Order: sequence, then structure tokens, then C-alpha cells
Amino acid sequence: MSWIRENKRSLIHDFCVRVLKSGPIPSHVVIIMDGNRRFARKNNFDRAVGHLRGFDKLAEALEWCWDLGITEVTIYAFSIENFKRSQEEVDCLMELMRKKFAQLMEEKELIEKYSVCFRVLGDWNRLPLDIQQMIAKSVAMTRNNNRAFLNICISYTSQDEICYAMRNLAEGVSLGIIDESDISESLFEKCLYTKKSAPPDLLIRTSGEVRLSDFLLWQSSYSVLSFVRVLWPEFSRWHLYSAVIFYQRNYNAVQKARTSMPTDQSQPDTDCHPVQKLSEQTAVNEPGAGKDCNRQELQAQRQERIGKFLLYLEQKDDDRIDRLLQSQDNRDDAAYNQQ
Amino acid sequence: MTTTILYRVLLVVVHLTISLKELLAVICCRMMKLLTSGVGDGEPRSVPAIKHEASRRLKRLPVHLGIVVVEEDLHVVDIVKIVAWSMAVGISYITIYDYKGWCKKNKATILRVLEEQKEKMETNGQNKTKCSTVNNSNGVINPLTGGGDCQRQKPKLQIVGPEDGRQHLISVARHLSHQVLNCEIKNDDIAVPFVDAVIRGNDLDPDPDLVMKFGAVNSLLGFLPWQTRLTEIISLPTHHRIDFASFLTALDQFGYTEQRYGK
Repeated sequence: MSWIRENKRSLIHDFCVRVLKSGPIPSHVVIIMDGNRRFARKNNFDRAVGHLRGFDKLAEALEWCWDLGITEVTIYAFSIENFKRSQEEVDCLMELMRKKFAQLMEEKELIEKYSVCFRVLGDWNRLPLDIQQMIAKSVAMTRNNNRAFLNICISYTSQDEICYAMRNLAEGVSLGIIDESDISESLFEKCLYTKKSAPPDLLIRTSGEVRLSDFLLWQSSYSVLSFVRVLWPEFSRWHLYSAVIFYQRNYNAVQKARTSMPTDQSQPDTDCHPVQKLSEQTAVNEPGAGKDCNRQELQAQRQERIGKFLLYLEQKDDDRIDRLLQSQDNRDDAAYNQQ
Repeated sequence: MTTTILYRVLLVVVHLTISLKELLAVICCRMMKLLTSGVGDGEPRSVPAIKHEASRRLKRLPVHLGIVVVEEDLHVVDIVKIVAWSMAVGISYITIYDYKGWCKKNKATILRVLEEQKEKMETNGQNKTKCSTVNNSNGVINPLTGGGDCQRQKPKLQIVGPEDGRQHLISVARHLSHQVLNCEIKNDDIAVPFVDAVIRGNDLDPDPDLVMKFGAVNSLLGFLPWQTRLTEIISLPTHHRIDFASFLTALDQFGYTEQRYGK
């Protein structure tokens, strides 16, 4: 089945979508697609069939989300912990990834038509090189698309992601691009894999499990959590509609809690110390000079440092993709020459 | 324009219907409780009675329970009842959290009311019974606190606020950057086991394996993001006038969860 589906909505679904869209719709939904293996067991299929059905359901669910105006979807496709499964199952999942990313390349026109941006979040280094190269190609091909966003978490855990952000920040400090005092919640978020995404509004987990399993722990801190008792391959449009209604019922309370969140008090105003010294010096030289002017200057300098640091990180990501694309080109050339 | 208003009205009707259904369910539940157990189910029970009921009904206990209150209106007496019951059934670690940090600011009040509650429960337990045991989620027999020949295990209570969640992770990030800058550690050292040890500091407490979330808001609202990676989350409608039967039902539900750890 294709990544992008173009089925016409039935009248009843069209009606339901219009009714739901008259209320608040989450703009970013994250999904833990749990239950593929239990579905396979229940129906006496191989596990491979369960995972394939899971992918088919993903393609369907994306269509339903985009119908509702949910422009960004993040899915938990493969955890770092899943490498502990049997080699046979891991190989099967890697093969499924190869097929699906290859299919993505073939559907370039359709993806461009709907302007879908694919991002892959996770520690790519743990994946086979050919899959890393395919991921790099998909990401590069769709990076300028901006109508809909699909983030696929592969070789991912949230704690690993948090450590990745901490390493980025430590690198910035040790290279002198940013100051230790520049580290704040908002800068931290720009160092996570989800740096280009808004915080998730709604998290859906299927199969009846009621835990987050190391998925987007930071990002979903203030998200609405919807635990649904249905196996992922059996998830239907009605389940999605129920989840959106559930989100709408929690919308006001969560918005209120978000606005009453304590402000980022973790960033000590270390500007104070240089300002203090500068003020003391200024008071000696120019009695009556304003402190605010110096504080503004220091804050502007901070913003400049942060801007340079974020450009540095973006360049690092682009360089990684370019290296993978280059290595794939070299591999293709070598294969061609052998023939 | 007219159709937009019509769709909006229909949506409101859907939400009202769901609210009515939920209200009817709450009323039925309360009536059932009144009919089956009578008035006074929220009254403090004795420690031996709690232990007996827990060992009869529960498959396993969490080692660390998070009590997350997402309601605006906090009732100290009810929060303390939940803590006291948790201690009585034998839960070793208990953490209280509310998203405004009120509980942390009023820790002294909570501890004082907790002592009063524990005294009431001990006064109610006139006959000392033998200790009963319930497996905790590590499979280790966990002797419940009590008199007689049993050893007393002192449960650990902590009260946290939003500053112990994301803001603490930011402090850790700053600290690690400082260490890398001063060559005390290498950047590559910043990996999950190392960061986990730094976040915990001197505490060897396990992560919460169960959160009981009290309130209609279906979100953890900032509760310890790092530590909740594998936490089971069970929601209860409110902590106001919470009764022991509802608390036990939530613990019972926990007993049927199964962790696969990615496998």
C-alpha cells in the first residue's frame, strides 16, 4: 500500500469531519502504534504480516488525520529497545523499512503534490548503512515541503534523545558558541530531534497499554494522553474521531494549565553579574547612566549567540545528510563500474 | 455561515451527551457504593484491615507510586488518606505532585496531617494481627508494616513540583556542559546511564512504576518526565472524598499490566 492515499470520503465521514472541525483540532498528534504482534497472533498470521498490516493502517490513519486538518503526525515506528527482539524479527522490520523507503522514492510526485515533509527522528547510527542512506535521501527529497509533516521515530528513545540534546549543548559551550547560562528550556527544545515541530497536542497509544514507553517524554509533558483499547491494525476512523473528541474535552483545562506553567526560572539572570559590574563602573564614570540599556545589550548578545549556535546545529544535520548521500552515490558508481 | 453554526451546535450536543453519560455513571457508582458498603466508607480504616484486604485482592504492588493531582482545588486530607493507605498496603516509595507546586510549598502541613491520619488508623486497629504479604512488582515479598513478629519497613515519601521535572533537566544540562568545558568528562560520556545517575544524585529510589492521576485532565502536566519512561498511568476522576475501594481498584488494575521492555 502507498504512503499517500487519495480516497474520496464518504458522505457520513465528510459530515463527521465538518462537525469535529467546528471545535479545536490538534495540529500535532503523536501515535504509539502498538499491537501489531498481538493482532498477528489473534488472527494466526506471521509477525511479518502483523507489521505489514500496521504500516497499511499508518497510511490510512495519515489520510484521516490530514482530512481533519491535523497537519503534523509523529509515529513511534522502532525503539532502540526493539533491537532486543529476536534477530529474525529485527531483520524483518529492517526489510520492511527498506521496502517502504524505496516505495517513498517511487511516489515522489504524489508526495510533492501534497507537499508532505518526511523527517526521521532517532539515532541513525544504530541502523544498517543502506537504511541510513535511504532515510537521508527521503529527508533531503522532502525537506522543503510544508503542507503536512510526518515524523517517523526510528531507533529512538526519549531518554536517548534528551542525552543527544545535552551533548549538543555541551558541544556549543565547549566551542565557545554559547555560554552555559544561555541554556534554557526553549533552547533545549531546539536541540531535540523534534526541534522543527510544535509541541504535541495529543498522544494516542493503541492496544490498551497505559504507559509512554520512553516516547517523547519531554515533549508530551503537557499533551493530552489518550489510551485506546484497540490493536493498531484494527484502529479505525471512528477511533480517531473519538480521540479528537477526547482532546476537545481536555482542551480548555490543558490550555489553562499550560498558561499557568511556572515560567522558565531555570535560566538565572547571570546577565545581572556583568550588568552589576558594568553598572558599578558606569556609576563611577557616568553617574545617572541607565542599567536597562546594558541589560538589553547583553540580552541581544545572548540572542546572537543562540542564533549562531542553532545555525551550527542545522549545518551539522545537513552535513550528515550530505555525507550519507555522497556515500550512496559512491556505492552506486562502484556497483555500476563493476557491471 | 448557517451550516458552520449548525455543525458547531451539533458538536456541542455531542459533548453535552458525553458529559451527561459521565455524570450518570458517577451517580450510579455512588449509589452502588452506598447500597453495598453504607455510609462512612471514607472513614479511616485500621492498618490490619487494610493489609488484610490488600493481600486478599491484589496480585502485585508497585514499588514506587506517584500521586499526581491535576485538579485546581487540592484537599490535603484526601491526599494524605491516599498516602496513608499506600504506606499501609506496603508501597515502599511514594511521590506526591501537583502542577502548581502547592504541595511542595506546603510540605509541613501535609506531613502534620499525615501523622494525624496515621495515628487515627493505628487507634482503629485494636487487635494486632499477623503480618500479611503482597508481592511488589519486582516479585520480592514485601512485608507490610504492622505489629507482631514482622519487621517494619519505613516507606519513603517525597513531594515534588514542576521545578523537579523539566527545570531540573536544564540544571543537569548546564552542569554537564560545565564539566565538559573543564575537561572533567568527555562529551561522549553524556549517555543514558551516566545522565540517569546525575539526575538521581544520591537517591537510589526506583522510578515510579505506577502513577495514579487524580482529576479530569488527561495529562501528566509536567510530572518528572525523565523518570516516567515506563510508568503505568491510571486515571481516577478526583481525589476529593476518595474512598478506599477506588484506591484498591486502581492498584488491582496495576496488577494486570505487563511490561515487555521493547521485546
